[in-house]
Amino acid sequence: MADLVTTVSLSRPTVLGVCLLLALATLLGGLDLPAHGYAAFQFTPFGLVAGLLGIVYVFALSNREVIRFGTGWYRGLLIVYWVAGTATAFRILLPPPGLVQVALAVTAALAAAIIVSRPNRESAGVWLGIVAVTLAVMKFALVPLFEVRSGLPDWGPLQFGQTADALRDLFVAYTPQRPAAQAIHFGALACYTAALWIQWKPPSSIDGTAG
Amino acid sequence: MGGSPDPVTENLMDTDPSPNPIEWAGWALLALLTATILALVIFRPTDPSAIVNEIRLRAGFDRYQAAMNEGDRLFSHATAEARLAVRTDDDRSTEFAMLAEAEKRFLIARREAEGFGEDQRAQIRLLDVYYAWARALYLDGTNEWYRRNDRAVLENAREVAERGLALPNITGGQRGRMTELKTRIDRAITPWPIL
Repeated sequence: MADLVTTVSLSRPTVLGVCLLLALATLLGGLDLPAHGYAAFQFTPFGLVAGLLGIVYVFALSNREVIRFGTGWYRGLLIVYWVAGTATAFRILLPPPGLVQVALAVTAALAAAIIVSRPNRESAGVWLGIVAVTLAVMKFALVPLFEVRSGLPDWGPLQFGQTADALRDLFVAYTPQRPAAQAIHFGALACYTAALWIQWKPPSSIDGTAG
Repeated sequence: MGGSPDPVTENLMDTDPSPNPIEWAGWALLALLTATILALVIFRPTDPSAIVNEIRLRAGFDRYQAAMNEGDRLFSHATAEARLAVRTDDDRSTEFAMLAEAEKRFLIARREAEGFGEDQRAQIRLLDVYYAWARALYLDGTNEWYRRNDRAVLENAREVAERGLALPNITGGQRGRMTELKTRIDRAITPWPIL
């Protein structure tokens, strides 16, 4: 009975709205505004790591009914857009390549197991938020601080600065962006959250009981 | 999540009314957004004016002016980058990449030029690119008196300067400036900077 109600409550306009929001999230989330160089903007789609995390999280979230696919040809469409949107969200939230990214990507993958193990979808949704906030704090607060504080001066023939740069890139190859990039990426995450919101199943729709 | 829908579900899905014009507009918008994302992934544009110039170049519409505009845009970004950049290897490589792209565009402009005037205009811009490029390499290749100069970088600088001097229709002032830079580069290519 729960499966029937789930399928019916996802109407075609809802599917359209979800797909539009996820496409917008993918578009905005891929835009970078580099602080240096000749590029006014760059579109960088998600890579392999973010893509795989997207697939894992879409499975985990659909398992807990945080996201729903419906049936018929909408189903395939929704899976594609949810994976693209989730992978883009991870592209935004994961720091640039380096050992910090390795640690956070593995932690995020393990956190998918926590989401699957939650007893209800509200709890799973909250854990998704916790993962997002943790990654955001690491990327937007810790990494820029590390970049600013980890430099060393060059003292004549002793090139400490270059050594410090090389060592820093091992941890995180930070590429500064113009401040507007954060607003654009926040917009992308807001679109993703709105997509979650508009297809969120009302508590009373499952056999008349909450959760 | 998995499994095919049961007959009751299928019936209820079929009862959705046919799409109204607003919904059709929504599907069209979705298709447009998806096509935009795919186009951005494939063509990787970096500037709104670059998009227009590249379209003009590929479509064959006034290719000379499109190449000149794009070359000018890249060269101005490269010179701005050279002034602003902190002296690190990464920043210089970005600058050199921009200069190489500007050179490509001005060479296209030379090929597309109609008449002496257009060709000379492209050559003058091309020499500006070569001069900035050779000077940046010269600065990179020369070191303090107690450190050996980087011979490979300086030879690269000399090669760029020679490419500029090989242009037949540049102005006398430009030729003099480039010749003077090439002399400085030649002097810097020594076993030891004191010699």
